[in-house]
Amino acid sequence: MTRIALVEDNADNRLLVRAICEDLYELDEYETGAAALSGIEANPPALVLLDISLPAMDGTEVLRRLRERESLRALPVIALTAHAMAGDREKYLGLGFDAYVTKPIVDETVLLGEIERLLRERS
Amino acid sequence: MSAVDAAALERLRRIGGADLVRRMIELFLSHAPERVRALRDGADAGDVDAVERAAHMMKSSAGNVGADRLMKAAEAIESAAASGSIARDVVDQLVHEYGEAERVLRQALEESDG
Repeated sequence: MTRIALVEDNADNRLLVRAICEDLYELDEYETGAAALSGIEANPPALVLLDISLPAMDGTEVLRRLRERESLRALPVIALTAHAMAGDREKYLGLGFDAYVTKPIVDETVLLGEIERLLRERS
Repeated sequence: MSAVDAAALERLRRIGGADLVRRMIELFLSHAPERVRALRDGADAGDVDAVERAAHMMKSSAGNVGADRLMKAAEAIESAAASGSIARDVVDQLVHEYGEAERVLRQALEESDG
């Protein structure tokens, strides 16, 4: 089963994403950016779901540090964010995220569709 | 807009059965009082950053369980805080909306017990 990582500090969002993904993917869960960076580097997944509003080190900083590592530069990363303001999609894609999915996840097929699309592109 | 959108709970049921509905509601109810308190305290202290953080957490969690009016109030508070002001009247409204959402969600939990 393809393994993906979820970086999310909200327990309820982790539970929901796990419920959405668990039949299709193996999920590594991280609550902080720091834990995610070391875990992902030690055991790289096929894709990362990365929350933007993380305490201490936010998602954009986690992405920047992932991209600094040669081996992780091409890792597909989806921004998961509740910052649904006009222009956000362009902003996050411009920062180097491969896709952008807004929370709350009202349609799980959007998230699954983006995961599948990016995994297919990289395969 | 009702306090809790039944379609959101139905969506959770479709994704993860009655067990997911129950666990999502329980998680929401266990974290929300602390977030409501943080919002109120932050508003009282004039701490816009604390208000923005608490509102952001509340927005996301409320949306997951279909507490749409609560989510809207949290969103309005978050966006006011992001531009440096504290929407005190909306904080009061949020406290009220939380009470309403909590009542409906507790009822949904009881019904799932029965």
